[in-house]
Amino acid sequence: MPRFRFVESHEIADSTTSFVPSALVLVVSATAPIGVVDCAAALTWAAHTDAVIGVVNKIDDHRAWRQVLAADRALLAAHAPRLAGVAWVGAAAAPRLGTAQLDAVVAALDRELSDPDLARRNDARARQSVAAAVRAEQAQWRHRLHRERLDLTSAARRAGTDLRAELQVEARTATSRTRSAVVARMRRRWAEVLDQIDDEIAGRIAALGDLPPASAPAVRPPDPPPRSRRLETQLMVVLGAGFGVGVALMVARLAGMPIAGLVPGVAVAAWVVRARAVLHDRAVLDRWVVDAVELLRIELLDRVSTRLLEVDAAHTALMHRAGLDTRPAGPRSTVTGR
Amino acid sequence: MRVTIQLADVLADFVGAESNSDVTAVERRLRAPVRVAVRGRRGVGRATVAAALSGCGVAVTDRDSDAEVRVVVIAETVTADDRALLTGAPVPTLVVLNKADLGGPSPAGPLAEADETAAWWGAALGLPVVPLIALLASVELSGEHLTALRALVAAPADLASVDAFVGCTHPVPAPVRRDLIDRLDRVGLAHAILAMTQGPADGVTARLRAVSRIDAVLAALADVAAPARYARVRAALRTLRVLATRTGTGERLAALLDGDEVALAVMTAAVDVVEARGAPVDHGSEADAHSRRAALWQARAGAPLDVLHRRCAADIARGSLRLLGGGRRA
Repeated sequence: MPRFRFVESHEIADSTTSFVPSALVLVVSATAPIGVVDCAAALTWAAHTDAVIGVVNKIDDHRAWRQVLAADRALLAAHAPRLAGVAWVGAAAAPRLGTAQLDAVVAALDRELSDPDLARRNDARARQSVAAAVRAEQAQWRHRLHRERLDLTSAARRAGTDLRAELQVEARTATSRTRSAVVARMRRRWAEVLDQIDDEIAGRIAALGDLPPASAPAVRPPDPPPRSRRLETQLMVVLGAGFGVGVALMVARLAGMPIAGLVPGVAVAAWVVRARAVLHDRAVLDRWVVDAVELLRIELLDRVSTRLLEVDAAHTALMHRAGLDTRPAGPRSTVTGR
Repeated sequence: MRVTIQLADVLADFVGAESNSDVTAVERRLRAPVRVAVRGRRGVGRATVAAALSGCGVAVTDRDSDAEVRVVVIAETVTADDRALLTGAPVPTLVVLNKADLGGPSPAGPLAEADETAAWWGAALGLPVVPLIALLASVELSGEHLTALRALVAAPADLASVDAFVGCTHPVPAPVRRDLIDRLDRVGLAHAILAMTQGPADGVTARLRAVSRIDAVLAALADVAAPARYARVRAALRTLRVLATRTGTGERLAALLDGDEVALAVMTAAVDVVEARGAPVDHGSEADAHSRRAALWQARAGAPLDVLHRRCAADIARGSLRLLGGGRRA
């Protein structure tokens, strides 16, 4: 068939040449039936070609070639339902004795290639293949996106939990003198963790696809509540004074002179008031830590959702553009298989 | 001269002098043939190879878990499906390139082509690969077939292809020709016709068996099975040592196990293993040869080899020292 150009299978697989065959001749040996891997290869080669014929070669040698042909037909139909209707013929391309037997192959190939509908069939097949590839790619993309979302949200939650545990330990040891230093350190840690997780999100998103770096609005941790507690201070002063007077009276009675109770009474009153104030401060800091970490968590989850949405939108736009310009219909020729 | 003492024979002598059902059981286990599983993808002639091996006395088993050796049958080439069978085999594996007569056109003949293919795949897979025409290994020809062969000698038929042979006009009826080609294939048929012209009719099957290369496959299978046989000998020795701790015949059994006969039987099994791997063993029977062999294999026993070959080397060294000590002049 000198009118046609015949190429080997590796030339179709080579994506650099936009080569699309008009017909595929799948050549297998009559030694034994084909395997699952061969069926998969046939599907790959025939991705953009509807005209396919199967050839069982070396029929001069193998007495059971008809059984092998029947088995090949059944196996291909089972593992590649798309190719169930393929015409199978026997051939002896290079017999040990006598002349080559290729008439059946030529006839079958001629029938396929002379079909006036061939171009339309092949184009339809190519479109179906592209659509199937896009669907498969989309499904894979969704799966990947879903996995990234799970990973990133769990990373954000874990970071929040760790930070809360760390900051609560600090809050429990704060005194009124160290309070401002502790608050400053807590705010620094908060910002550090935010940056760290934000970097992780950016890294993972960058691995998913090209996307302009998003500029998230700068977020600061909430301020700790002010130390206004007038009513409580007044209450503690009254209670502390009462307790101090009681201690002073007791010490004065025991010592036998009224002046001896003055110093212990004042000291105890002052200690009670101060201790109560420190405990109150720590409780306030602790609540602040919970609020601040909650804010951090919400902020991070927000960023994860936003960035994933952006990357998904960009990807969909890209796929849409790719889907619009379908494979260039290059020179179509006939191709031999394995 | 080669020392070949089988542990089973040593044990048979032992129970011959004094019957012991436990030792007899060990002996029976040692004598049981190595179990072989035959595997292969569809259409490569797995069943034919299994039948040919069975016909030659090989214990073919259906269960993979039961097998001590595996035969993987391929035809023409190694496909991706074959590779799945060949990788990660849990037991020693022999690859049989079946349908060696259908290898393809080669000026030197199909079997020479098959030899080349087998050598190439042997190197590529790192496994022993031997060609075989399983169809011809256990062929049975009736009087009718021999008559037909005689007729084919007198009037040659068209052998250009299998279809041509069955379809051409010839005095031998087409169904008989179909039957002949199913039994012999073209290469087998050509050899059968040649055998008919050269000698008596009963020489045909022998000639076909020689063409089939089944003997080379059996030899390769014996080589592949050597580690399994050695493992059996080691397992038998362990069992016997436990039995020797019992009272009664225990002392005699212990003396037997420490004796030269057993040491030489273990050496025989070890020599089989290393020779199957292609390592030559000096079989000289002079004192000089024994001491040289003992020194060489003692050194190898400490070399960075795998456990099996270190053990075999130690057993060969031990047996050689016994021979040197005059335990048995072989």
